[in-house]
Amino acid sequence: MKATLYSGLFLFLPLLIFSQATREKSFEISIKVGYYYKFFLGNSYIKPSSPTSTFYYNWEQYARFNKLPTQGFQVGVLFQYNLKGHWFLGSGLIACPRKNAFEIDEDTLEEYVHLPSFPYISGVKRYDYTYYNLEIPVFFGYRVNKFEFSAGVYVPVLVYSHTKYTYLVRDNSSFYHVFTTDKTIEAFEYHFSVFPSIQAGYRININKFLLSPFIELDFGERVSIYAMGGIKIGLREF
Amino acid sequence: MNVINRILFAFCFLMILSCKKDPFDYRSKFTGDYHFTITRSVYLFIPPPDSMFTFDGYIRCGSTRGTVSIKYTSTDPKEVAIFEDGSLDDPCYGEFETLNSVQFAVVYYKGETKIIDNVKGSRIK
Repeated sequence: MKATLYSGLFLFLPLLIFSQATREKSFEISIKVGYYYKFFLGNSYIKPSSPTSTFYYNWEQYARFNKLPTQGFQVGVLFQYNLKGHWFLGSGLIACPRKNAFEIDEDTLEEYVHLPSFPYISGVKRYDYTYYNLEIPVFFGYRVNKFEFSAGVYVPVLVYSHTKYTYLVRDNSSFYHVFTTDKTIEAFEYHFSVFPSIQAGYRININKFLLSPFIELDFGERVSIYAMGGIKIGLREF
Repeated sequence: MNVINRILFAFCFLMILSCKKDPFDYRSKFTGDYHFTITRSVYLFIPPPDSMFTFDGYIRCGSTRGTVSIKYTSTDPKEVAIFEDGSLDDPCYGEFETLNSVQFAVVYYKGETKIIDNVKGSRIK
């Protein structure tokens, strides 16, 4: 319920701003295509959290795991509304598979095993999450000559998760060795999260098209950063 | 308040809200009504043949975080620990093979007689 209220608020705010803005210049539609590399600030090792932590229960399963860098892409349609002066406001619809991966080394897993449910299976060695998100961006920017700078947030409105669990398996034959097996679970799910973002771009006019190479930093969970680069192709200007 | 100020205010408001996180309760992927098939083995000195029966039960969120309540027979539901990957722990050992099928075993005693229920459940659409 709370998540729905927040989502509604995020969708409502741009409309409120649009309604208050004085239409002065133009309205642009563009296609955005980007590639991201996700990395983490600081130590990638996840320390066991305090049981008093708010998210202790949800995150304790990753205790002693390492956060792994991932990569992916982003594609979508953007609507940009030019306000007074050099200011502009943007929104749209973006498809972005956001990936998370966590892995623990075998010795640590053996020592801190918490899932002895199946014979010989020590526990989850690696989590690979891919959240296929449909996101609504809301950003606010300023244009200086051909440069444009903006900041805002991405709000996921539809999330389809694909999760692969890789297990460590101990073979109790006379030759002791380990191997892995995995399981995949896919489902629609929703957890309220937004991705704050800052962007910089350069506008190039080629005939009737507007090409805008950009770089972008999205801030994700667990002090992660999506470093993105790509291009926006302007379709039409009203 | 002019337009730019309104936008700056809204932006700051959004940024503050963005700090809020609401983790997904993974249990909700597994809950629902299930059709269970139970194979019951009774371990006596001269064991009777295994019995098999079915029961339309359910899996609900448990009373504590990280647990589900499984009702696979007419007796009281069992409170079971469940992990994010669908693995079940004490007292029902097993796992969700998919989001629509679950398999687990329950070991219990009646007096000194050991009984094992091997349970397969499929989600009722």
